[in-house]
Amino acid sequence: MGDLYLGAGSAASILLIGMAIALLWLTPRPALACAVCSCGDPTLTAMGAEKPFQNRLRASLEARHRTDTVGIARLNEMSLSEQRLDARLAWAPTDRIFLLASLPLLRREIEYVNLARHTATGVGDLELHARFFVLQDREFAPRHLVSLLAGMRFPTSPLQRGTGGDLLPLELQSGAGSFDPAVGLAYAFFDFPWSVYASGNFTLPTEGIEGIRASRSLGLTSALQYQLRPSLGLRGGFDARIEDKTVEGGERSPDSGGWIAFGTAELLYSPLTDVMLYGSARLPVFNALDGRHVEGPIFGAGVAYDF
Amino acid sequence: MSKLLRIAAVSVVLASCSSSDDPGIEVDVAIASPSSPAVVEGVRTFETNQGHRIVLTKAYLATGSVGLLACLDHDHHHLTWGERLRRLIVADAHAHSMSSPVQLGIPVVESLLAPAGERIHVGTMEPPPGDYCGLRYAAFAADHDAAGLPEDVSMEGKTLYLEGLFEPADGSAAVAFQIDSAESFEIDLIFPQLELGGSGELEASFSLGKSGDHWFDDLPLDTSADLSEAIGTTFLLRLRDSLKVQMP
Repeated sequence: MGDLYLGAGSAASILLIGMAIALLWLTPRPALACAVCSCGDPTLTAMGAEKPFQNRLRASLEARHRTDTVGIARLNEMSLSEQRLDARLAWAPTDRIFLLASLPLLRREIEYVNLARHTATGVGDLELHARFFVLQDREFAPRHLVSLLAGMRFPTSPLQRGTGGDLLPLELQSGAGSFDPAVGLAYAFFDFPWSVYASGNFTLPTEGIEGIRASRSLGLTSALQYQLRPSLGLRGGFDARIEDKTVEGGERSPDSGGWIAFGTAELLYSPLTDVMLYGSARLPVFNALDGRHVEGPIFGAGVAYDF
Repeated sequence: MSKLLRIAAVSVVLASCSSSDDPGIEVDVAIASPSSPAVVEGVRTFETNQGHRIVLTKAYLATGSVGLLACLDHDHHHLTWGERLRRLIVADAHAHSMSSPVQLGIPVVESLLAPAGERIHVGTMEPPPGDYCGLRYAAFAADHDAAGLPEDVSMEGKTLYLEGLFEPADGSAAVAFQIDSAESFEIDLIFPQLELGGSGELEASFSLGKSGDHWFDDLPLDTSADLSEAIGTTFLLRLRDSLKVQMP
């Protein structure tokens, strides 16, 4: 690995780099194991790990399903089934910066111990993210890339109310009602047909609906990708989330905090130029979440298009 | 094309704000006023087994909690750890009872002079599916945020307050009395097995009734105030024994 330096190559070379990498890596990265829980690297799917060329524009649509059970059986257990559809648009105003806007549509169904079932569908919170490429080992086709991540979740989701006008429980809301900034660091390594990606993201939620402050968390992502064919890639890795307690009314929620790790597997296929289809599965392999909190597998599928 | 996009966007937004509710199993609990003796002009007059007359002019009782009893409540060998924890929380709570899917821990103060037929809605439990065979009723001292606190008497720290006149059977002069108690009691009131959820009911309602016919039997209300505490305790036990669970 050569000396790292701040890259500032010509637009043409950057364009070539971007195109070359795009061909090999026209692959949406895995969504993080628990992006809905403010963990991991929410930029990966929509941006990819490679350095962009100026004015690169990618749109993606990803559907995900996950389950979550919190509480004590027959006492206060709550089982969540969530489906979300994330619409994302990523744009690179320069070859050093990649910006991402993401807006989810969520459907949440919760079953309580008395068989009560509540379902809500709503537009979630808008998220804006940026990736700043700060270090690379060489100007053309860099093998090592280091980038800074910054993001913010905005409380754009409308508060949802029941038929009586009362606010629906927080777990049914499609947004947290808070400004949630995030900062992180990412590293990517390329050696065709292999590539590696790793990142860490701190999310620091502020107070939201009913004064509840979601858990501060560190999301970790690691992924190893092997390109079977130019149009077909396999990716595996681990995602983890380390979090502190959710604070409700000044009290620390007992069924929050701790950490959880998911094993991830993803298949990426490009049937046409500029089009990428992908499917993923994330299985919880280690659950050290505090209290009674069981997160189930996360399944996803999506499509991305480069303009 | 842009029109189509606008229609699609509006459709997504409209579809995005919907919710639906299925309430699941719900069990309503109410406290019924004493069925007897009748209330006339705001007072309730009792006749004891010894022929004395008691005219109650003020009377309040604090209910602490009402819980559902599963039919296999006694069988602790089959309990999961979660269920054992629930029992620990539910069964052992007194002064500050907790609410749970099978318990209403909201303190309520009722007037024992409310006309027969009046009901106070204590709350709605949301229990898990199962077979239930009884209600566990507990009375204990009201705290400052109990529902139904009266304005004419301070019930904070009291389970029972009675005020009235004792009219001896021999026709001698009536004696005014005032009794209060901070004692607590708990009683299991059994009803026929009720299956909730599964193939059973999703809704049920219970009313806790009581009859005052024997509340004052043998109570020495004409004696000194030193016995007031003992009389209050005895009265609470009589009241406890008169409780009945009714399923309308």
